[in-house]
Amino acid sequence: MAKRRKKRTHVKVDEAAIAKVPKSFVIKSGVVGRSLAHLVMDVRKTMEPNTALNLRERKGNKLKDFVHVAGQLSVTHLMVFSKTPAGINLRIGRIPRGPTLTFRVNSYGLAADVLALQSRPKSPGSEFKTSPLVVLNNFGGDAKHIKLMATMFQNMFPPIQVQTMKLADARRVVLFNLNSETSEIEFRHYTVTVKVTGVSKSVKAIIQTDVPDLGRYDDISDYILRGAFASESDVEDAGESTVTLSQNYVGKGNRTAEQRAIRLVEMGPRMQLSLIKIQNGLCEGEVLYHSLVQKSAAEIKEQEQRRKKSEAERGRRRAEQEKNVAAKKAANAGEGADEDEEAGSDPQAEDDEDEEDDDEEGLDQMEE
Amino acid sequence: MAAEGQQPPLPCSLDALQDRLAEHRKCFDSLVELIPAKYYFAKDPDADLSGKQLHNKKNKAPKQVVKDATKKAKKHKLDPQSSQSVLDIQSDNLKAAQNNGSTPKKPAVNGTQPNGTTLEALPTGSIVELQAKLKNRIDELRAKRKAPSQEVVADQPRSRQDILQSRADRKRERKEGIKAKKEKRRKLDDTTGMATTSKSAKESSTPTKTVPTVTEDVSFGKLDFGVTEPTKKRKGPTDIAGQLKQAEAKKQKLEKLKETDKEKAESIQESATWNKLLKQAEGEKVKDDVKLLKKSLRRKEQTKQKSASAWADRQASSTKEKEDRLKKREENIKARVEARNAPKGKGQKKKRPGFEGGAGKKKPGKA
Repeated sequence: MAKRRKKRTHVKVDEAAIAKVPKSFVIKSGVVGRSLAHLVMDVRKTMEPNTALNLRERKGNKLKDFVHVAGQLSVTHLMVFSKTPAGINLRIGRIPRGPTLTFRVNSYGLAADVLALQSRPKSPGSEFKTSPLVVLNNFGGDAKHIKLMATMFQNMFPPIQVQTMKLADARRVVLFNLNSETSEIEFRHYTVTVKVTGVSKSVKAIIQTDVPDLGRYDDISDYILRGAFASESDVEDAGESTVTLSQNYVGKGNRTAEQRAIRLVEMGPRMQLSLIKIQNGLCEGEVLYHSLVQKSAAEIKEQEQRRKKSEAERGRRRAEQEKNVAAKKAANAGEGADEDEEAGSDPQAEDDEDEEDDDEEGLDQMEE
Repeated sequence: MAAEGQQPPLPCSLDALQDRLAEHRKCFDSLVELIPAKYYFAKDPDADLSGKQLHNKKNKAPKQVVKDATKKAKKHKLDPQSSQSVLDIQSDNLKAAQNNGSTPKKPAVNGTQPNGTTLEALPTGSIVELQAKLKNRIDELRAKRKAPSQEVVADQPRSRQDILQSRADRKRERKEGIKAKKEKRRKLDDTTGMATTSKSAKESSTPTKTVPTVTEDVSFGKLDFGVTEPTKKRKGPTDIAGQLKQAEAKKQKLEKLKETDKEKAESIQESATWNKLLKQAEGEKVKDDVKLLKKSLRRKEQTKQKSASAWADRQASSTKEKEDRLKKREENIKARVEARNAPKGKGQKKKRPGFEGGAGKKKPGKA
């Protein structure tokens, strides 16, 4: 009998499971400088693997393009960076109709700069294959906007599967810290490393790396007893940050039931955010909370009316243009081919005018 | 002669009495001698109480003394002169008693007993004392481990009422305890932004800088336990029409409330919007907007209509096709029948290619 070969080897992807995991688009809108573009790339790396890493935005792409595509790809969150003379804004919104939180990025540090600060930067490995754990600090309290922020941050990342998750999948941590005095949110991104505790430096070197150079020593005891019994950082480790591994972990020698100290090494971009406003819709809609401006009911009504009027006006103009274009096309088709060229340019010019109007509204840059 | 010799003298003769007594006595003595002296004589109760049964640490002799005593005892045991059998001890005591008349001789070694013949009035004081001490110690220990005291035995047959009462009391206490805990937890959560526990940060390496206090109020991301809760009862209708009705009803209610109590209506509306936002942030779809619901309802109706009309078209076309085919078939049959029945001399029959000749014409060259 010939060797049996497996016939049905394609692993069927569980559609429902995919849909439950929150995915995000991180994009920049308008003209942003080079460093902000770098920041966008860094934030994309942070949100890996549930984000579009190589997403390319063209100049003409508008918000609704992304929203339309997002439905098919089951993308749930949209993060938009934009730059105005007043400052840098970050909008985090839930597709398709969810609330939008607008933050001002007071200051930021790129991942490359953060790594440049370290004496021994870790190069990224397989950490980006799994999603990070998210930690929120100081987001308690009854204030509605704080609760909403906390919910939003928690739901941007996939939940921890308690039954099936492996310890080795927890490689990164994203921290949001709410500073209660300045009410700024600090965004930090760390890699989790485990270090052996409770042994002297010499023994640690033997355990973790390959056998060191023992040419100068007569006896192994000379090597072991030559130096510091505990490094400075070991002293910090003892106590709260020491854990017993419940499963095997990444790295040489990290096996179950061994004591290790957890150390977080900063890796990614840093951001200082402050909440500006919360809107009902996706980058549009009623403003439910504004940290700077408080509008009275009359003002809100007036603003709403103004907006409605301008929308109606725009709609009317668009309808008129389309009518003109259709009429012109019909006329040209009747007259012949050689006049098509002349006539062709006119409707195009009119179309361009119309598109410029749309640009204003598209990726909303009307900030205070 | 043999019969006479064999028969022993009668047991009740008087002259052999002395001999018989001596004989009996010798028998008993030999047995008694086998018993070691320390088991034969009554034990001194005082000596025993001090050692084994009670863990009386105070009266324990220091180690060295104990060691010496044991050594001495061992030596004495192996000393051939010291081992006196029961009979010897008894005879000694008898002699001493006859000489002194008062105190019987006590052997010098511990463990052997005062004589059994003249009983001394035992020191009742010490035993009673010890028993009282024992009772006190037992009570102490019982109190420590909260064992039910002896008096409870009296009211063991408690009435049903009492049992039920005690049960109700315990339940009430438990509930109050849980409530108190809840209150405490709620109170802690109410401290918005206040430092409930402040810890100094780890940056102690730069003592010149002021150490920033870090308030710890850590919460983590979502946990998915993989266990779907038993599906909660879905509140409200799930179809679009029902949801639309519900949304409209809610709107109406709110409008009505606005006329009577404006503030309450506002607060309700605000909390409703915030709840909606929170739910949306978590990913649940809240179907609340009347306009959107109407739109989706309309869309659904339109698709239904379209598909209904498409179905009608399909049906109509299929029946039409069937009819057409049937008609065509009948026509063909009719034409064939007509052609067959038509008179022969109608016209020249068209010659088929390859059959130009007539029927039955023979080819030249064939016989």
